[in-house]
Amino acid sequence: MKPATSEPFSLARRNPPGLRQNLSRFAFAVVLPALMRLLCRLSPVCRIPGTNLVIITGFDSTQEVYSRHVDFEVPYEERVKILRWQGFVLALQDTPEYHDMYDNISRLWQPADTTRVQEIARRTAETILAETWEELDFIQDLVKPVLMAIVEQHYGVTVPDEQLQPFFDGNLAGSGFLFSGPWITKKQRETGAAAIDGVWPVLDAAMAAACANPDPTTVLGRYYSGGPDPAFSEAKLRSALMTMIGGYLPTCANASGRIMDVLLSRKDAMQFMQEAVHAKQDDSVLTGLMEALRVNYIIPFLWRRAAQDTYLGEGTTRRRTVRKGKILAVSLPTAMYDRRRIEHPKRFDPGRSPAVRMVYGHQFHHCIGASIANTVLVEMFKAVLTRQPAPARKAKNRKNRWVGAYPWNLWLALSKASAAP
Amino acid sequence: MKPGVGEFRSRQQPITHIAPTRPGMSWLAWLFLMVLRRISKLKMARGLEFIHFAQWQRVRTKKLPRLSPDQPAENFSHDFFMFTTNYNGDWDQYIDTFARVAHIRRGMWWLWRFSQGFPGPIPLRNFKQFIHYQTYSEALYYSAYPAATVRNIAAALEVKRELEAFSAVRPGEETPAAFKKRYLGMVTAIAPNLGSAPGPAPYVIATSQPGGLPAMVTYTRNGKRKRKLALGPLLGRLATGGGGEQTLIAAMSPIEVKPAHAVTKEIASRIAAVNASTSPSPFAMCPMLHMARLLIIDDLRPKLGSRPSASLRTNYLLFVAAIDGRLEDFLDCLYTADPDFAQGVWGRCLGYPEGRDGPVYLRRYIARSLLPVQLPFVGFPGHSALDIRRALRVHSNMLDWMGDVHRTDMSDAELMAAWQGQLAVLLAGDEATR
Ligand code: HEM
Repeated sequence: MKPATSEPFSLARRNPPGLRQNLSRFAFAVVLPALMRLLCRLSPVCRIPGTNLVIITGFDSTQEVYSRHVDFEVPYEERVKILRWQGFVLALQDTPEYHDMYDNISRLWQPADTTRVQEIARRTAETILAETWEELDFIQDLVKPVLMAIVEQHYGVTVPDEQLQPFFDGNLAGSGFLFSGPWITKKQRETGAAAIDGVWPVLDAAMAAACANPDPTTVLGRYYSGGPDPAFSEAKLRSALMTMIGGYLPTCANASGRIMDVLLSRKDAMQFMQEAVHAKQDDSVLTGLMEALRVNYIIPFLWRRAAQDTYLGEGTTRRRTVRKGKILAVSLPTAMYDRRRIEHPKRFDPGRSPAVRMVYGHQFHHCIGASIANTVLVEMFKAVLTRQPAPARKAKNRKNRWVGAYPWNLWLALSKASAAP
Repeated sequence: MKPGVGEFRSRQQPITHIAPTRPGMSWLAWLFLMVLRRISKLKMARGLEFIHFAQWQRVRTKKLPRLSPDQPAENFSHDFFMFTTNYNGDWDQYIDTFARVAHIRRGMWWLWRFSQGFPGPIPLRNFKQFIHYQTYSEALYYSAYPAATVRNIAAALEVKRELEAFSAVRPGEETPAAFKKRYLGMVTAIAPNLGSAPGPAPYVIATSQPGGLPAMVTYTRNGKRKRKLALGPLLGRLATGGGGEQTLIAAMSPIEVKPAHAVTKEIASRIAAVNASTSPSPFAMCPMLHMARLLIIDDLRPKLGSRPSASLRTNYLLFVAAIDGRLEDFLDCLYTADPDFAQGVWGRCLGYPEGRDGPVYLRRYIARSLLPVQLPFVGFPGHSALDIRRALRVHSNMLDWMGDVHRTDMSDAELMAAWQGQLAVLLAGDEATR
C-alpha cells in the first residue's frame, strides 16, 4: 500500500515487516557479502559485462580509488539535486567550492567541541540507563535520544516532538537514497524527495530561531552571534547544517546497531569491550568499536565515477583499464575483509593494525565527523556496557527488527544498575 | 677499527657486506643457504650472544628489481652474496671471533666460500681486509633499543619473566614471612641478570659503510621456522605460531639511471636529515620495528684487487629491516608517521607511481623491490620490539628498586608493604614504549 502523502514520513511504515523485508535482509546481510568476498578473491577489480559498473572489492584497489580522487570523482550530483542539497561536500569534486565549504564547516564545528559532545552524550546515556530497569530497545530508547540530544543541545537545532520522527527517519532515508546505487528509480526519487521534506523545515526553523535569539553555546548560536560573515552565507550554513546532520544521524544510528550486533553475537568481542570499559580505557573502547564496525560495516557500497579513461593497478604489473564514465561500486566492507591484506578477517581482533580499518573512508573524502562519531559511540557504549547487555528474552512486543539497511529495534536485557562494575 | 662514515645513536653496529659470487657458484650459494635454513637453527650465532639479527642472501644481478621501463638490465657476469647483521661490541673483536673460534670459523668458511676473493678466515689480516673492502656504509641506522646489547636483552627478559611469576601471587594470599622467603628466592634468581644493564644512552658510534622471489622470514616463539607461500606479491610470508613473530626484509629500489645523480643526492640528504635530527625519526613511530637501515648503493665492488666485470647502471636504495608481524602493517605505520619521508625517499625512486600519495603505493613499491632472504637469524625469536623495550624498562625499574628501596634491615611486613606499593611502577614498561 502506498503511504498517504499527507502523513508524516515514516521509514518503518514504508518498510513493513514481512517476507519482503526478511528476504531483502537476507540478501544484504548474507548473500551479498558472501558474493563480494568471493569476487574479492577472484577479481578485486571486476568489470561487469554489459553494464557501466566496475566492482571494487580489494583492499589495495579501494585505497587506490580513494587516493585518486581526481581520476575517480564522486557521482552524487543528481541525487543531491533531488534532495535540494547544494554544497554537500561529499558530492563536490576537488574544487574551490569544496574547500570553501569544508573550511566553513571546520570553523563552525571545532575540534575543541568534543568535550561538549562527550558531556551531552554521557549525561543523556546515563540518565536513560538510570531510568531503565531491565530491558531496553537499544536503538529507539538509547541511540536515537542520545544522537538527537547532540543535534539539539550542541548544534542548536530544536526538533518539536511531532516532527521528531519525520526528521529522524527523513535523514536516514535521505542517506539511504544518496548511497543506493548508480541508477535512480522513480520510487527512489519519490522516497528521497518525501524524506527530505521532513528535514528542511526543521533546519529552517532552527536557523530562524537561532538568528532571533542566538545561544553562543551552540553551533548555530556561534554562527549568528559572530555577526554576518560574507564568506559563509546563510545558504551555505543551511547546507553545512544538513551535512553535519545528514552525515551524522544515519551513520551513527546504523553503526551503533551493527556494533551491538557484533558484541551480542561474539563472546570475545563483548568480553574485550567490557574489560576496556571496566579499566576505563576509552582508547581501547574506541579500538574495539572500530574493529566491530570493520566486522559488520554500515554500507555495502560507496560510489565513484571515472572522470577519464584510466587504469587501476598503478605501481603494479597488473593494470585494469577503466573507461571514462564507468561507475565504481567500492565495497568498503569487502575491502576490509581482503585476505591479501587482513589476516583472519572474520576474527574480532582489536590488536590488528588500525590501518586496515577504513571505517571512515580514506584520503580526500575522509569523514569530517569522525571525532564526533567516535565520541558519541564511546560514551553510549561505555554507559550501556556497564549494565552487561545481553539479548533480551523473546516476547511479542520485543522483536528485533531491521528497517531497510538500518537496525531499528534491538532489545537488550540489562543487569541492575547497582551490579554495574 | 671499522672504516667510519655514518654516525648513529646506537650501541649496536650494523654491517652490510656484499661480495661477488664466484663464477658458476651462485646457485650453489643459494642451495647451501636454503639447506642450512632447513637443517640448522643457527645455534652457533645464538651462542655468540652479540648478534641481534643477521641475514644471508644471494642477490641475482639479473633479477635486481627493474621497476621502470627506462631502467636498463644490469650486466654483471656474476651474482652477489649479501650478509647484513647488527651486533654489539667492537668490529675487530667481532671479526676476530669469526676467525678464532673453531666451529664459527668453519661456518664462516662455508658461508663465504662461494664468494670471490674470500681468503678464508685465516690469516686474519686478509679476512678483515676482505670484510672491510666489501662493506657498504649505511646512510641511516635505527634500533628500537639502541642502548641494549644482546646480553642486556636476554637478562632483561629473564628478570621480567621472574618478576611476573613472582607477582602472580595476589596480595593477602600469603604472610609477610612467606612473602619475604619467596622474595629472597626471586632476588637470588635474578641477581646474575641484574648486573647486565644497558649503559647510559644515547650511544654514538662511528660505523663503516652500509634483500627473485620476494621473501620474508618469520620466526615463531620456539625458534622454529616454517615456510608458507601466500597469494599476492608478498610471497613467502612464513607461518607464525602463538606469540610474537619477526619478519626480516631486504628491499632494493632503483633510484635513477646513471650517470644521473641528482635524485640520489636528494634522497641521501633527506635520509641524512632524519639521521641527524634530534626529534624522533619516522621509524621510531613504528612500534613493530626492531631495526632498520638504509643504504645508497651506487656501485657494487668487484673482488679486491681486480677490475670490475661491469658496473651498476642504476643507483639503488637498499632497505633492510626487522619487524614484528606483517610488512604491510609496518609500511602503513611508517607512511602514516611521516608521509613526507616516505614520499621523499621511495616516492622519488624509479618506477614509483608519479604524483601519487598514499600508503598503498609504498606497499606496492616495496613489495616489488623485495629481495629474497635465504638464511635469516633472529636473536630473540618470539619477542616483539615492544616486549623487549618493556623488559628493558622493567629491568631498569628493578635496579632502581634494589638501589633505592631494598634494605636488608627491613621487617618482613615493611618489605611486603613497600613491594606492593611499588609493584605497579616496577612492572610498568610504558615509558619504554614511547
Ligand atoms: C560511525 C559513524 C560514521 C561512519 C562509519 C562514517 C563513514 C564515512 C565514510 C566512509 C566517508 C567517506 C565516504 C566516501 O569517501 O565515499 C565519510 C565521509 C563523510 N562523513 Fe562520515 N561517517 C560517520 C559519521 C559521520 C558524522 C558523525 C558526520 C558529521 C557530523 C559525518 C559526516 C561526513 C561527511 C560530511 C563526509 C564527507 C567528507 C568529505 O567529502 O570530505 N560522518 N563518512
